[in-house]
Amino acid sequence: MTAPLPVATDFAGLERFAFALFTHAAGEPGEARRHAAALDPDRLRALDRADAVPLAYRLWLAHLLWLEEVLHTLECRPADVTGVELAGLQALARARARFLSTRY
Amino acid sequence: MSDAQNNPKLFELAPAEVVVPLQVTHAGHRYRVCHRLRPPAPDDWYTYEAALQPAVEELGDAAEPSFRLVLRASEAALDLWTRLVRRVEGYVLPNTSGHDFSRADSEGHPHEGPTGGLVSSPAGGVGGNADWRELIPLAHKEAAVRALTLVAPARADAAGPNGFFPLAAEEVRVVLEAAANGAAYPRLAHRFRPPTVEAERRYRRLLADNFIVRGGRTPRTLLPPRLPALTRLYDQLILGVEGYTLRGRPLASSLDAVQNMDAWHKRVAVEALFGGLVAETSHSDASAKESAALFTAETSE
Repeated sequence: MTAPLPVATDFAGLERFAFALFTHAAGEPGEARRHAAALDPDRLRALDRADAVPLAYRLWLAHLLWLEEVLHTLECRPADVTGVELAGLQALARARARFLSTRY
Repeated sequence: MSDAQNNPKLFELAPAEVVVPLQVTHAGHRYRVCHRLRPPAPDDWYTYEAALQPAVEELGDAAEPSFRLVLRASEAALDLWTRLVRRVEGYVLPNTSGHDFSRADSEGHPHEGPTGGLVSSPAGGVGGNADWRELIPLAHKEAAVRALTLVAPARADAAGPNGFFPLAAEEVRVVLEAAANGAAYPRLAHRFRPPTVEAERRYRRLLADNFIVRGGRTPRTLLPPRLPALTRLYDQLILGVEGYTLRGRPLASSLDAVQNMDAWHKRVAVEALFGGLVAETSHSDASAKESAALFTAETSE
């Protein structure tokens, strides 16, 4: 077991898992992808690994996505965002840019 | 009619002691025992919540994820009970008649029992320096601590007054129900100022903040203690409460609530406040048809 890692400050992990979430959200329906990979164990394992975004990261990424939304639409001022949140938002933006550049 | 008038009893925030009557079964027999505790202070609750060490284990695989919440509930309850207990009633040691055991007994001093009789030290009955608190079964201690946490949001009324959603309301009411000292308290109202986006951000950040432990078969999510921050949010947003008393008098101001409200009640009230902000789409066929009918009627005019 490793020491507990605060997810909010693991910016590399946040970027990686945000990219995984974007890819998953934009991909084929999970069941169809699973059927397509079913005959190839390596591909199936890779699929499972790619899909497995740990709950810890899902929780913080959900917060960042909500925060990103309210910063654009509501009266939440950027000054209210903490440094950790800001760096997380930047990781999210990098993941989105990478996703968009590879897909479109 | 106010909530205070609706309540058959008012919830006392500063009782001399908290009485927890328990009905327990053992070897085919039923017994009634009673634990008397001092009222928990905020620090007691903070320590209890931290000792729970909540963690979420991820089971299954990516296709069918499932989660298991792991709590150190027994250890946390045992620690809280040991700090709070003053005396217990309805227990007996071998070869003796029934005893009431109090905190003074553990120091070996005979004392006046709650029923007026002189109670001898049970420590003598079991030899040496045995502490009567260690003799109480863990299940009884857990049940006594569970009784302190019996507070939850009350069920919502069928419909709001006049059926319209109040916009720009000056306050948001959260109603809790609780049980304590063997009595039920069905309407404990907390009046909050409407949360700002900034307050909601702090609440969401609190819920999302966590630690991850890797290296096991599956990752483990550790949820840090949240009670101190939740009580701070409560203190910032509370306007007043109804259904509670402080030494027999209703709480007069928000400061009274800030200073004297039970921290566990604060937690449940804040969670109900922010949890109640969600809006859901109606999934029932009946309401969907109703909405469709309304929409059609309006557009056809």
